[in-house]
Amino acid sequence: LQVICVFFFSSRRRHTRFLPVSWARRCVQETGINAEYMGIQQQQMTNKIYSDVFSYKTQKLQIAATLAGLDYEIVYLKMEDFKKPEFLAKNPNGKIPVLETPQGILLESNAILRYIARTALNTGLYGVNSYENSCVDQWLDWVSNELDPVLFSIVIPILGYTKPDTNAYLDARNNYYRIFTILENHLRQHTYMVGHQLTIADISVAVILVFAFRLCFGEKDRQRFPSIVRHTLTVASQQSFQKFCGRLIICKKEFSPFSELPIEHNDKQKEAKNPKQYQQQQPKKESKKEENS
Amino acid sequence: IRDRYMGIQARFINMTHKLYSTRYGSRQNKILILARYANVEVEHVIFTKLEDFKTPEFFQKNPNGKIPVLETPQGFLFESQAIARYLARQANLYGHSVYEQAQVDQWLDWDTTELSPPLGTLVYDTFGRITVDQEQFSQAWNRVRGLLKILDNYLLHHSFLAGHSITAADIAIASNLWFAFTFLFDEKVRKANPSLTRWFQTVASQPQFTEIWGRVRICRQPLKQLK
Repeated sequence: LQVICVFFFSSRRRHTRFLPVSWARRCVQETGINAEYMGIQQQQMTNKIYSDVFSYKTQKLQIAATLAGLDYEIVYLKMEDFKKPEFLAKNPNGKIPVLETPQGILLESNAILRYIARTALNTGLYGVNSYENSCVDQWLDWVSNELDPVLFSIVIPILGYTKPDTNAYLDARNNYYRIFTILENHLRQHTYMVGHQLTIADISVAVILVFAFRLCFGEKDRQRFPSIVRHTLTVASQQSFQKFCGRLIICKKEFSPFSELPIEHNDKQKEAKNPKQYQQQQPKKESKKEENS
Repeated sequence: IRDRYMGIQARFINMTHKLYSTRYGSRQNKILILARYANVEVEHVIFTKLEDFKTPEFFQKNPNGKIPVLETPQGFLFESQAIARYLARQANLYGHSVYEQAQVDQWLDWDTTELSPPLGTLVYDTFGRITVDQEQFSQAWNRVRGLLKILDNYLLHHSFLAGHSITAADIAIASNLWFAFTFLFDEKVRKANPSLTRWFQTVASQPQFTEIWGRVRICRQPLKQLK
């Protein structure tokens, strides 16, 4: 498949790149007689999603496309292919997912989600009226601006992609509770994120929270945020969700990026709880340190 | 307009199903809602007086002499919950596994045995259908508050009553609670049961629900007991 993609990438006729063009059709195109016929031809192209082998953003699109009944093909690329000129011609940012529609190329997973939802407005994936459309937009933006960075600032050190820094981790933890409280309060009063049916806002939230449930959403958090658990379980029980994201894995005990909690973290916690006791303990510790050294 | 069209249709085409009941009530409306989900054309035969369903020809349909009764091509069905289950199977609103089916059954039976008696006391007394003295009324209110708390605690952890999507159990209990939410449950009760309110608003905003019941109306000032 990748070989075929390279062959087609190198063609100069970009608007009909993926069509097996016969001689007769080529005559029609080059003389430009029947533009309408060309339009019909282009509609026969399917939508193509370019993605990495595993990406939660592509899973979002696949779930939405399945629920919307949109036909699509998926092209899996390797990390090296993102820097190749053929791919940069499609997406100069060099990122996935990219949707190639008959009309053109779409970047940005949220924009692609909205496009997919608009192709099937009767499913209610984009809300039922224009106010709900805007609510869906609001929550999609909230997820990518607020929830995504906060959650991944905790998940990425746990997974080991960056070195864990104590102060950053503590800040992230505070933000994490603030953001999740906002979401919990909203879901306490609403069954779904927007309106009374499943929308792309629900899908985008649930696909990200898969990471939380797997890694950092422990027993205490689950008791503190029951509406988030309820909502994610509801969305994760959809067949299309299970097809692309698998079963929802819920951790028994949450992970931490630190094998032991660092000493400063422990002392800060104790100081916050009992300031007097902490100050009394300080001279003892110092004397112990002197003894050890 | 749809009812008028259905009336005209009924003259020319024999509708497969007929529902014998009074005009407006929680039991008959839940059946009509489920019929909309199941895409089953149900002709609504409306009785206005109590005597209409104590006639000998009605006793042949339902020996209990009660409504609602559904006439199907195969025969007559009484018991509103059984009619609900019959339509739910056709509408695929009966859960997606054996366990979920049992959950739907559980909540429908709970609705009949636990929720309906005290709630019926409150609603019928408020509307003047029956008269009940003060003590019985307050006892019924206390009982209903306890039951609403059960529902609320369950719905804190579950989006819907059975499984992860709307089922006949949600429709039946929401229909039962519709009068209460519109006329009896004020701000205090709604704040004490936030998950119940959230669930009710979702179920009652479904298009099939609003076609039969009308738009969701939440009361500001509750109606008091008639004296």
